[in-house]
Amino acid sequence: MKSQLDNSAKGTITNIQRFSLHDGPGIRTTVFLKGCPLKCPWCSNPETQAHYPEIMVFSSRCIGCQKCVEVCPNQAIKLVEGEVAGIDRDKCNRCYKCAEGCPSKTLDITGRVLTVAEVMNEVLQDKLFYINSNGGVTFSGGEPLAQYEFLLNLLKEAKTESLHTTLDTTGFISWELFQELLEYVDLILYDVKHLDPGPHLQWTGIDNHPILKNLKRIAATEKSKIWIRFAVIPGFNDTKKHIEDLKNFVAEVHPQKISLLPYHTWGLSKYEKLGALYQLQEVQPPREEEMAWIKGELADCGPEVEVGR
Amino acid sequence: MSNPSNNENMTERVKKRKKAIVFKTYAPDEKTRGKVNLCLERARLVTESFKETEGEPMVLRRAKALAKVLEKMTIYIEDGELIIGNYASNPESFSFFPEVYSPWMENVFENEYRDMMDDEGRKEIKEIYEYWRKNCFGYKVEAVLPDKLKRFFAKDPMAIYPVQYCGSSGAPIPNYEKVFKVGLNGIIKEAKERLKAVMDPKAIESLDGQGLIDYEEQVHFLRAAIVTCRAVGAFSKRYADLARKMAKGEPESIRKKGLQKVADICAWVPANPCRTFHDAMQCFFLLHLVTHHIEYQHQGINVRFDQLMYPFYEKDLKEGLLTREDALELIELLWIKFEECGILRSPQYYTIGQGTTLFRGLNIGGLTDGGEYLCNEISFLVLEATKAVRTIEPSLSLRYHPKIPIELLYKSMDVIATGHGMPAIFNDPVIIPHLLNKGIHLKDALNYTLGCVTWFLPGKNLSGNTIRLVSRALNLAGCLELAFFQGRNKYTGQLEGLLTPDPATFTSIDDLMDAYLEQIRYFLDKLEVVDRFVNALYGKHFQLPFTSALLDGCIERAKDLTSWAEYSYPRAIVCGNTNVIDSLAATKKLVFDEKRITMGELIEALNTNWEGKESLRQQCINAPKWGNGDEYVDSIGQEFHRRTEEVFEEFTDIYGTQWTQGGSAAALYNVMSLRTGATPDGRKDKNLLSDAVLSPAQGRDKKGPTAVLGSTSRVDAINGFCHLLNQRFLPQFLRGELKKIFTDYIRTWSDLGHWHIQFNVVDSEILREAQENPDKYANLVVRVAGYSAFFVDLSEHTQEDIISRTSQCFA
Repeated sequence: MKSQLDNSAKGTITNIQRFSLHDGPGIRTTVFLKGCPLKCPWCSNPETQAHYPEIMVFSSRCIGCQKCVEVCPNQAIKLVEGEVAGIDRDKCNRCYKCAEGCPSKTLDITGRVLTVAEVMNEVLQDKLFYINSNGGVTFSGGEPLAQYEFLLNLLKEAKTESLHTTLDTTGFISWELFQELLEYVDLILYDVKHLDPGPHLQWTGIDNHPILKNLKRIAATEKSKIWIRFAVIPGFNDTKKHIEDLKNFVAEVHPQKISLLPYHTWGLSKYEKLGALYQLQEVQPPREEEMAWIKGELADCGPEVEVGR
Repeated sequence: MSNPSNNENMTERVKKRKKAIVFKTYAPDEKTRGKVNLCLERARLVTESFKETEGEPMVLRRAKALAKVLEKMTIYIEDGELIIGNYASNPESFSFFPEVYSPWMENVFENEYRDMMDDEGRKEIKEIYEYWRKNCFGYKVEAVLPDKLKRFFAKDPMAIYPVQYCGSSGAPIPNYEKVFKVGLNGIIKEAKERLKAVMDPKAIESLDGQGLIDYEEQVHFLRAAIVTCRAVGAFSKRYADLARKMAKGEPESIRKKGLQKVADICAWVPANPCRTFHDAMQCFFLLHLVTHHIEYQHQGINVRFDQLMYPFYEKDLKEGLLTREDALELIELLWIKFEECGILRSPQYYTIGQGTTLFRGLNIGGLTDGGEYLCNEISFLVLEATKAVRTIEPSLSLRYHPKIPIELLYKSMDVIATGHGMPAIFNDPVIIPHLLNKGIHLKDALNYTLGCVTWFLPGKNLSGNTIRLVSRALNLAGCLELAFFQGRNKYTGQLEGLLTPDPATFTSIDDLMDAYLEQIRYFLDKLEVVDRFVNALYGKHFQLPFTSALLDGCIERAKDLTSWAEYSYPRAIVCGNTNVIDSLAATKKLVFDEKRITMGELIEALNTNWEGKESLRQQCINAPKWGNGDEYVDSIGQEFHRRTEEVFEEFTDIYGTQWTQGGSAAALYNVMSLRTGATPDGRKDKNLLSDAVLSPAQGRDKKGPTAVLGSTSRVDAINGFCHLLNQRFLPQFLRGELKKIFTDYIRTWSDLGHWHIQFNVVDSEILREAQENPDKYANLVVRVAGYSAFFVDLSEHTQEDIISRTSQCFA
């Protein structure tokens, strides 16, 4: 019934973040898998949305050597006063030649294609830290489930090494596939965006039925495996009505913990580097009192509630 | 740092004393922190005494000079003081030591330090120097040193390249415990008995020629020890008399009671055994003052303070003589006394931004010789005092062992989180085996202390740290530079090192490594000889009879500490290690592995400080760097550390002990940076070298603090002594729920076999600096909601948000 472990399986990752302290218990390494079916406009990691490697432009690093201009077959490099200011993404055919030849990493590829063995090689470097701190490895994204086979093999390999595994996910997948994978997962950071299908579809482009259904199914048997993550986005999911709904939902699911993540605009500069447009210019981060109120409401239903920063 | 002190934990008396501190520093630029002067009293008295004792044995002359200073120098007690003692005639002044050898002082009072004295003072200092020109210790060394070696004996602290004079280091540490128990009177008694035994006619009968020569030395030394112990006892009584006199004039008040108490204590200690906690504190400071600021000037305090003081604290508490608050106040007042003492340094020393530190390490925690972990109420009081008064001195060190009570670790982290950089943490499970490997007996190894970041053995005659006039420092990055230019200084064209083969002919990175090792061997060979000269001559010309009397074994052997050693620890302080590693890695990758550039191009780029070669420099910067757990460079680093250490081990001191790399350079890299040209790691001429021997180069570690330890744990800490590691954290990582995780990080640091770690907690000032110099702070990780990021990559708006948040943490 189980597929064999394949550590030559390849996937695309944007970053392997060592010393992660907020993605599950203890000291962890978080592996960010690239690609996400949801398109949340508040996303603070926009470089993890597309499934393919992308070029980020760090203009401040440019030394004006213009090697990129020489190698670009489509004249997609935008210069201002002799230095790289951006890439014309319409002209770019993603040959990555500019980034490969850039000595100063002004043009830097986000998204490396790595094998399971390569990823685990780096993850295992901090094994002693995981042991001493009850930490482990976290797979995040993007949506890690979007690279299902790769993720499954990573999880199996992590379990072979006796690591504590955490999955940071929206749970957007068929129950059958999810179930097979859950055997190798010790903790799920389950992202809940909105309980109402309408706004969810409108803002993320995705129907939330399978997401919530999967969450309830897991909760039915393994409540202790779940920490709910709820990003508080003003004007989207912070209405009194929605918090009330969320309260009822939490009472039903009863996760071990809830992490509230106040909306912030700190990912904004990444949009510029990717040449992407940030749509929520007008939204302001929630006030501290509002976060405290939501925290208080949810804590009433029992679970531990923390406000992340 | 501009952090406010924790006023709630200071009494009015402590606040008053803290306000009165005059920092002993001198900066020629606008940073001058208030007027400081030079007090000539000590120099004058020492010179007078030496003129009076012409022809007498040197050890007695030195003893009499000390006695004269202690008898005649101006003493004072300031308002609110409960710990007493001074070394110059007023709180605004430095004292100085013409009998040593400080050539930079000869002209400095006409120039940079002109304001430190008036015309009359300048005239007198000239006369004093006139006497010492041919009588100082330095002259005696130079008089016998072959010409070719003279440039390796420090004259001008900036003159030698890449060897560098780095100031006086710590003396052996008195056995305070013993003095607390027997008093100086007990030591005098011991010396007298020993003198009687030495001078027993029957014992003399059996002596041969050498024996008789030794006999003379022994008699003189014991007499000198007695002279100095008596003089220090009398010195303390002078304070008692002064306090009594001052008390008489006071109306009934807290001040009067304080003075009466001080009078009683100073009349009793250090001559007699300590009775109370306050006795022990006063005795401790006075002995420190005489051994470290009057007999000669040394850095360091280097005791296990909680072990030393707890018995008195416990007893007084039980007998109702003292409250916890009283003890805290006394500790805070002691810290302030340390802060007041200063050593005058060369102008260069101040301009490189060293501040006022005298690297006076004071320790808490650690294994005892019974194998238990030392932790008592004094350990906590020490941390509380440091947190409250926020003085630079003493520099606290915590001896870590897995047995450490979590409360002590948490309390230490609270102090670290205030951005004070203290305590630094040292790892018993590595250091104790390291010391055993160096031939230290287990009982002594368990009792080691840290003075700044170098180890000491309290009460033991540990050579290797006595006066250090010789420039035992080696800039490894400078040696690599010389390997690229065949031993020539690229600026002057002069042959400064060894003529090694033309690097353009090198066919692998091994050739470059070999040429580098030849350069360090060349310098060590010279330094070894000079060091032997200096060490041998100490015993004849620069005895320290008082300090000797307080050490184990000196009276027993009837020998001054400068003529023997229970243990020795020869080393040259090194810096630039990481820049060499990163340079070797970049050269290997770009020149030999990928053949993207030729060696000739690289040399040309280094020679011209990358002029017109920015693209090449970027490739060098983006080559693998130490501190990221990257096998390509880490294996080079491991080999580099091992082979460098092997070359050091080829050399020995006069006691036959092998040299080792001294990894404790805290600020040497600042000076050396200015003397080191461009290096293949992408560094430009005179840019900063890495700030500690193990640390990644500034901004080059990009995978966070666990990856750093992955690299640094590759260096053999049991055998080598390249141990300093600085880590930078935002306070957010040391607070709340993350506190526990931070202790787990420290435990793993210990498990991975490190020596030392120091946390520089980032405050908003540093973040501002990072905004200005993103290159230097490229590795600064901050937690942003939902993810971590490099601070310098964030938008200005986000950076501002983090700065305001960080400021809150310190509030």
